[in-house]
Amino acid sequence: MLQIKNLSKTFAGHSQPTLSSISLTLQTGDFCMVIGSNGSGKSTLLKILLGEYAADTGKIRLGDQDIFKQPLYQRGKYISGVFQDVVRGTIADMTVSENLSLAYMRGRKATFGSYRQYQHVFMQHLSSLQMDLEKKLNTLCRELSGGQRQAIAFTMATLHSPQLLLLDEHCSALDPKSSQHIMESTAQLIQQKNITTLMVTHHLPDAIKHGNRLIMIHKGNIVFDVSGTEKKALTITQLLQRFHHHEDSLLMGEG
Amino acid sequence: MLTTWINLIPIGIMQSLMIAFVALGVMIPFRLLNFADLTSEGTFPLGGCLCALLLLQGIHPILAIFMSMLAGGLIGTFTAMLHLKLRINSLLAGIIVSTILYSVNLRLMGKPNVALFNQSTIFSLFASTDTHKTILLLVLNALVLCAMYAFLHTEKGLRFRAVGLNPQVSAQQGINLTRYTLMGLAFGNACNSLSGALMVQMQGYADIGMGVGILIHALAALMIGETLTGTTRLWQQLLAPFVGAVVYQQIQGLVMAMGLQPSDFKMVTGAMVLLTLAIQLWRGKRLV
Ligand SMILES: Nc1ncnc2c1ncn2[C@@H]1O[C@H](COP(=O)(O)OP(=O)(O)O)[C@@H](O)[C@H]1O
Ligand SMILES: [Mg+2]
Repeated sequence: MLQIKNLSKTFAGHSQPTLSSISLTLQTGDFCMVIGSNGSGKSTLLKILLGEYAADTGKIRLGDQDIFKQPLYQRGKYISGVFQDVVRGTIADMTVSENLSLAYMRGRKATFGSYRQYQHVFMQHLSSLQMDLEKKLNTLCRELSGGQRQAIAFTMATLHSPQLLLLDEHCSALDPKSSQHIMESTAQLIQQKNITTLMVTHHLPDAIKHGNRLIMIHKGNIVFDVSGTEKKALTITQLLQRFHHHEDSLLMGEG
Repeated sequence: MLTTWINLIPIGIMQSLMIAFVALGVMIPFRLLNFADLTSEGTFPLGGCLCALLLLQGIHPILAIFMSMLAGGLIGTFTAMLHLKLRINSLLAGIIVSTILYSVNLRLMGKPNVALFNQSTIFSLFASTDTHKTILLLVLNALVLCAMYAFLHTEKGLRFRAVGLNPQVSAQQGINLTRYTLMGLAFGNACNSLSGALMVQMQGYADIGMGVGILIHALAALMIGETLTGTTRLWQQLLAPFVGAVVYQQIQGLVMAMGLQPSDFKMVTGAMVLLTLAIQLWRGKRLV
């Protein structure tokens, strides 16, 4: 379970807070879509959860731990992220197998044993993606396409089911076909492993189709929050109307 | 001239087999961790001075070498901490620590140089002739390189490399960057001190000035080595300091045979570093 309470963040030099007192609770296994216009604070929220930025005030609890002050590498043991920027997901100068080994060893002490003993595990995971990546275990990640690298990054993030999975437009830098494929694998795996997930997307059909909850962030506030059957009944037109409502209020200077 | 050079070759090779450890000590943090560490200028003479003192105390030469390496390794972690915790620029941290070590070394010895008399050294114990010394040093190099190669293929070694290649992804994979940076600088500076300790046992004395210019020497060796061996594979990167040290020492021998003064070496070394950089740039490879 993820509990966020009154999380606020104002970047140095900004007059307005990027996140103003955000509260959100996700139950274990919740798959929550996050939408909102550019600059509304979605990535900032995810980066704070990941440990990359420190929030000014607030509380973050994951399971029975208070992780508000934990450094990035400690959270890395149970929080995974995949991002729009393909370069951030994998180590370019390491092979697919070496990258996956790092993910496989996550959350425990490294030993003096060889890291090359887990290849069969990776084969299995990669073949389920149906992208022929199991043939590329010894290829450097820099030699893979964006879609392939993102697939590896996603596999790294979910090799051990994390307690919290953060996806920030992880399909948006890809061509439509790879994007579609990664999205389908993502949704399937999240459901199958029951991983608590926050996923930022600009692709409204995905936001409608997947997940059991949806929030809209506007200027650092959660302005819309639906779940369950209400979320199921949501249409793109309704979502667009929501967007326009907030943009209009922005234009009229009320926001 | 040629005969002078040829006469110098065996001595040069022995010399370079000791310097190779500093080149390795510079390479490990620099290339594997992406941390430019200048502490060798202090940990090389520290290894030498400490080893001389330990030998004079009657400590076994092998134990003396290990103790010197331990001291160098500890100093390496100190440089790393200055950078990681006090956020001092890594180059500056190395310069500060080397400067401090100069005084420490002088304090340790109590005078600018200390001579060994009949103290046994690893050479007097295990290798009496020059050929034997060369073989002993070759074996030592091979041992250290194999150990490093093996380490880099363990789980710990994989994390170590990851930290150098991409700290951001590494942290996300739950890797403690501080721990591995400390480890890398400890490795590197243990190698630097090993080199100093060997040098002292070979030449029979320690001198406070023995570290002056060692860094640029090691860097020149490393870069020449990288130009020759390439750096795409791990074993090439590991072999580069060794190959470079040997080749560079022979270039020096040649220069000396041509009648240049030892005091001109620094200029030659600087020119070599620049030349190697130019060649690497021309080949489109990475720069320092
Ligand atoms: N590292 C940073 N330093 C300063 N300002 C930042 C930083 N990261 C984000 N911001 C600001 O925070 C706001 C929200 O950004 P972001 O969270 O990336 O929005 P979104 O992901 O919703 O498009 C923007 O105004 C952006 O300029
Ligand atoms: Mg964003």
